[in-house]
Amino acid sequence: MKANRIFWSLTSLLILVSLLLSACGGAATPAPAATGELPAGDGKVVIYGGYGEAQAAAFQKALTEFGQANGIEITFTSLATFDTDIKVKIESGQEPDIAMWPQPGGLKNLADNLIPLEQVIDLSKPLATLVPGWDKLAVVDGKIYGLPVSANMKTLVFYNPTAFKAHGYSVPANAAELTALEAKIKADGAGYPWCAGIESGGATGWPFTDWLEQYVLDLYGPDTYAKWISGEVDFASPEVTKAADEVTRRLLAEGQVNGGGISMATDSFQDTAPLFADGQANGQCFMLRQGSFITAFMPENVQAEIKAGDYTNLDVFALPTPEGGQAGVLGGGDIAAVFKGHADQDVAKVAAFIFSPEVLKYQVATGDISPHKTFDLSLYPNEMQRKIGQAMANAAVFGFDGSDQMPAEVNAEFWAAGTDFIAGRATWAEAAKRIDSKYP
Amino acid sequence: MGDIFLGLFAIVIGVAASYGLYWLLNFIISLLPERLRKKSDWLAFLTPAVVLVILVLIAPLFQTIGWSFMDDGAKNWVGLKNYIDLFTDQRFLQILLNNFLWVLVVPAITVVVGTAAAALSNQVGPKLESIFKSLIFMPMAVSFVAASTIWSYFYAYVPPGRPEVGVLNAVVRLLGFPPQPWLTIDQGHLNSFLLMAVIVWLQVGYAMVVISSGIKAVPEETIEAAQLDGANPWQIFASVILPQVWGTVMSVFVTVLILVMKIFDIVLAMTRGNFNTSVLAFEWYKQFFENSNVGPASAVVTVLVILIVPLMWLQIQTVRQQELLR
Repeated sequence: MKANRIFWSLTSLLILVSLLLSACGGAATPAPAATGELPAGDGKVVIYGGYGEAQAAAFQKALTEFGQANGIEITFTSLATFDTDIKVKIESGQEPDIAMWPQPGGLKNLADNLIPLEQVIDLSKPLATLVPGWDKLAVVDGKIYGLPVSANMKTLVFYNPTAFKAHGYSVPANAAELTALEAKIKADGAGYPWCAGIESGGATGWPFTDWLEQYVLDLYGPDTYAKWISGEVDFASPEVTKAADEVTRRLLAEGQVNGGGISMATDSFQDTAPLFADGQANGQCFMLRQGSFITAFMPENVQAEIKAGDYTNLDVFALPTPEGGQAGVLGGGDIAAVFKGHADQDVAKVAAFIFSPEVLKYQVATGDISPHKTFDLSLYPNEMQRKIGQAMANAAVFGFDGSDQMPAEVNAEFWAAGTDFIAGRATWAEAAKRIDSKYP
Repeated sequence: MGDIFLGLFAIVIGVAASYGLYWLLNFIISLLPERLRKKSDWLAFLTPAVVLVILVLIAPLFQTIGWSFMDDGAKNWVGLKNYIDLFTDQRFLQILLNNFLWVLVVPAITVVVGTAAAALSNQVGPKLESIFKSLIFMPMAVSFVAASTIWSYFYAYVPPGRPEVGVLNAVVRLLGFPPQPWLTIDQGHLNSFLLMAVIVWLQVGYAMVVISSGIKAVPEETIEAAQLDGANPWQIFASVILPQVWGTVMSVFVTVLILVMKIFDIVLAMTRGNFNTSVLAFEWYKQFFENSNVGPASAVVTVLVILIVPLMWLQIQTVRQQELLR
């Protein structure tokens, strides 16, 4: 009887231990073959990104069309705060097959979780059609991890031609004319020269970083711009400080923006209504320097007009280059990469598709621009966007949004310290010191 | 649909497995010789819980403390560097001050307002009482983030000349003063106090309900005796009722205190820590998830743990005292 008991005790213990062990070991899966032919797909491809509602719908439409032709079910999901959420998804093992970063810096930080694109697709195709510069954004250890899907341009000033005509203003062709126009608007008591909200939830401050980048690129050219991004030229340097002075002159001087810097810090960048307001008492502003995507945030009647090719209430001109600088084109975009362990034949097909010009044929209607030289300009929904698209296709000095290429931490501090600078809570020297301290 | 079935399946398996585990442990014990069995049966039932607590609570705690002495990627040891960086950073000291203000102000106001609401609503008759209490309790049903969004509209600021959307500024304008960008004003940490209003609004209902039930449990005889002695209503409340519900008040106080220590959602949803409103838990989030700095983030959260532990001890003490009183 006693022996029997001990026997049973031991057997049960053995079962228990083996249960525990198998529970612990369950997560391990055989490693996929690293080289050679990609494994066959399961007919499903999941893509995460940070698109807004309209962009996401148009992107999904193109994906569905491609998917149906190729027998792949492609799902695109927009994450509310992409940069943070994608890390959580990776931590919890729920990463998608493909993800699209609005910021190459964020992508490069996570390169350990991604695979070089040469292992998935034939790179020569997209590289042949992309505007130069786009292929150098997501390079880690000499290998391309990400390429752009969609782009936007930020060297643009939107204005209301009706309002300009009513006051007899004309589009400034250079910095001196721009300064004269600003002075005239203020002297006339017509309103405020600039609309410049920089509030954007967790990303508050980015419109300011665009202003600063534009002036660094214009004043000192692509080499200094690149050195600034990599940290060799710091924020407190005379170059960046001079660019900040330029921003101060345009935006923070008395009467340039309704309510001054503190209003800029609390006013949403999406608030384009004052551009169409009437008179200084109603907070009317005359110029809005923003990315091409801002048309999606214009009042609906204005959007409808643009769609119909009517530019009486909204048109665009290139931001004049400061004296002594050379014109640079600044922009941004969404960069896609493939996750390690997710590359199969279906993913490869979808990746090749989203890196081709065709993927944007519906999405351009939402304000996006193609980063490909070969994109069919007739697909742009209106004359204004065709103008912008053409400028992108012909860009000689193209600078990708600098803050988005900086390490995520520097970028975040650039936003936060920049907001404090705009709100008048810090001098440029103080803000620059805070940002510089975030470089490792 | 498949996800739901998978989830249900996991629950069923989980429950069955836990049941099976305890059954098995019990079975093993029952097979042991009598003497051993008596000594070890508590072990069988305690072990799984202890293992679980160690696995999901204790181990991560020590891991985090370990990380707090490592660099951004948690790869190399850096000694006390993270802590030195924190305590020499003017902005972190402001964050500590903010946390301190939250802890100082929110639990006290919540408990005082909650107690007042409880005492007063007990005086107005059952029908009005239930209406008042429902109204005050209602915010409890709102999540922190939703409440923050509502209050963001309350504090909203628009540039001069634009249509007003902020309730507070509409009132200020009506009174003839210029509207203010409330959430950016950190003189005297005003904006932090404005954020605190949200949690007070949310938690007063909870304080009221718990304290009210405490007041209702006060023996009627003690109040009658005081009335016979000629005590006025204030004296009755201060000298008879309050001492008898003190334990309840304290436990509410400590619960809110700990909630406030780790406050995060309101700051995230309303200011994102901008304009000098950040607190410890938000700073941790920013460092860990946005900046991917494992070491410094762990140091922040370790500071938070060190500050919370005495409060936990206080909470356990008050609960024990309450149990003694019963």
